Amino acid sequence: MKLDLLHQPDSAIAKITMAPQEELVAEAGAMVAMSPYMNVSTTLRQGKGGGILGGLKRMVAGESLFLSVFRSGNSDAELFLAPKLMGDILPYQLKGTELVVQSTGYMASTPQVDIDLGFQGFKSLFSGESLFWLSMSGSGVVLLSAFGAIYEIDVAGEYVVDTGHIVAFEKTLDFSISKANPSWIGSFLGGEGLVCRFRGQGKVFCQTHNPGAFGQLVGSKLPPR
Amino acid sequence: MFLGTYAFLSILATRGDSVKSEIRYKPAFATLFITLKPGEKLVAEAGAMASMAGQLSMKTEFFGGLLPGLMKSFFGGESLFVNVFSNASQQPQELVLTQASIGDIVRIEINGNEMCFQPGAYIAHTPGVKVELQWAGFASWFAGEGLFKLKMGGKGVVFCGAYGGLSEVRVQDELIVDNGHLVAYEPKIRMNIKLSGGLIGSVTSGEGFVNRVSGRGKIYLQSRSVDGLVRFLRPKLRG
Amino acid sequence: MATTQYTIEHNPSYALLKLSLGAEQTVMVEAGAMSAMDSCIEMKSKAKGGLMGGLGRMLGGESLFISEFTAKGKPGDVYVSPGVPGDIQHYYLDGSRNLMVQSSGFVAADPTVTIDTQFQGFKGFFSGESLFLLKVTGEGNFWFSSFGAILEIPVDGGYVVDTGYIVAFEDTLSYDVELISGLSFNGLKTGILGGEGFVARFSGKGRLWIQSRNLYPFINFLNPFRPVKSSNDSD
Repeated sequence: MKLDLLHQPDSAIAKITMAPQEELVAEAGAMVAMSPYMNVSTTLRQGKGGGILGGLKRMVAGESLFLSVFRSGNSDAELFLAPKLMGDILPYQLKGTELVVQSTGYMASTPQVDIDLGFQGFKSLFSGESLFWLSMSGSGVVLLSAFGAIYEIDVAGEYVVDTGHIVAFEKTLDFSISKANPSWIGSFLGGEGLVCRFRGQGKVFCQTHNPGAFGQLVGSKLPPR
Repeated sequence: MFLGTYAFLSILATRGDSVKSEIRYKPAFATLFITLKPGEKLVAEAGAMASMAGQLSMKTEFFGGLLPGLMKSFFGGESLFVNVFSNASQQPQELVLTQASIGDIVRIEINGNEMCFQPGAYIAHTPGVKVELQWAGFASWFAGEGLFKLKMGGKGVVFCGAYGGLSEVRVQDELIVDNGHLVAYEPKIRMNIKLSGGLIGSVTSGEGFVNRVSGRGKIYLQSRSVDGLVRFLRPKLRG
Repeated sequence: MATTQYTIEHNPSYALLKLSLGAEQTVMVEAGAMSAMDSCIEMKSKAKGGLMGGLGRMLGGESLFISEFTAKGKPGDVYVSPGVPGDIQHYYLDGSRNLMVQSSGFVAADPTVTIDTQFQGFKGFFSGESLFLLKVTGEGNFWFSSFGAILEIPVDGGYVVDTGYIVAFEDTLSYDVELISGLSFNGLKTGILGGEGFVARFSGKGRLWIQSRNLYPFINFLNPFRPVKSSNDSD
């Protein structure tokens, strides 16, 4: 399987060239275009968070219910995948490590990657940003998507990220949710709300833009629903 | 010795001379990566912080004091509050700032010169920059741009941004700009806002108000406008 | 006639088309898309193609009107900024083949180019997208827009594209719309736009342009941020 990322970062689109008998899992709705012989089916992910219930949970979390599985069959095949919103795609190589991904940050993965739904570490404090988090383990490549460009921070010590800007982070990191400001009033008025303080060793992937802020900016000017 | 250098640099910094910045992911997702030296400060619009080193501290203040802040927020289209980021540690620390809109950001040096900004364009400035609210006129208000504008003077650096890509244009004589595309301009530039082609023509052409910009000086134009996006989306929405 | 000089900046997300017109040269532009121009340029708004043509365009998601820009007496520039966040692609019609463009894709064209709206019948209906496509004929320059970046796919044989991503194609290609159930999550009545699993299967030989984003997920995303209609609001 060969991966080419085109038009990064703003309009990133993944071009995947598959050899015969290869397989790729992607969120439903991510397919843009493909070779005419591609075989497509729908899957409900098995495992702890799999099955219908897992799917429903994922739907609540802003993900579509189904994952699509693309199989190349007997010949080479080409597949284009794109995120829902404007933004970048980041390939992440899993090697026995675990990655926690914001629910809307998942786009596709190779078949040996396990997707576990509803990582509970953030509890309800996070609501408003994203209800659910996915935990990725196993081996293979995960394609993450973000609103905006993605920048990587190698945490050594302590790093603060606004909760609206987290795409994914390695589970080796410790984190705590806190106010951005020492005082609640300042925190609220300063517009930063809640931040996540990461500690230890590991990587955090941040998105440059906050979808909620942009949604507010444009949505508030649209006619009422 | 290093400490000495930093102490020296921080003196420069308090004079508002410069700040180390890099603008990445231009134009669509332009993001400010700032390195604050020890003792250095930066003022940024509320909500602009995406991430930062754990050692930086952040304090919320009124934008230029309570009353000016209220004025700027009410009339200038900016937030009432700003956050002041400061580095009290002994090492340079990183701060990442962004805007609500997806689009371009430019760094503008202010050193004796002045620059005016349309509502919403302001992102951050160094403490040496003076921020003033200035009367923009009723024509500007009619055209949906606000009664007041922000004027920046003094000495330092201002970062501003907009939806779309930003182009610096030198006006030589006269240029017609669709409303909603002008981001910043030098105060000596004259403006004349009017309907683009008489009342009927303005409605059917979809252009509405245009701005006849004249004089000699620098302006910044945004390649796309949020109003244009809204106009495009409106017929495609459901109930 | 003089060929139209142009440059495209800030692409792919925020493409800005700069058209440099010679003296007395005219260009047709999508209504409302002008962002700046020299003061020697004259703008006229007209219902292009007569009333029926305009109506057809309106049904197709386009404005009833088109703006016409003419450089009076001396050369001048017009800057064109489409409303959709995305790219602009140039295509030169040499008269040998026509171009089919998704209904809201018109940005600018030479006056020698004719733009008609073509009803796609049930093909268009089932795709869940607009029922209309623009059919561009004649000879001259044409510019079209996309949501996100534009990718050109040289089709020789066959290619499958989700209907939400089609931007334009040469009419030497033909297409059929079909449903691929493996792509669909529509049966769940999620109430969101898109996701029907409809694709267009292209065949023949010609150029096809697709866009890197689908508009419906973006509209679904913006929906919760829209103001809520109050009960005594008649609008």
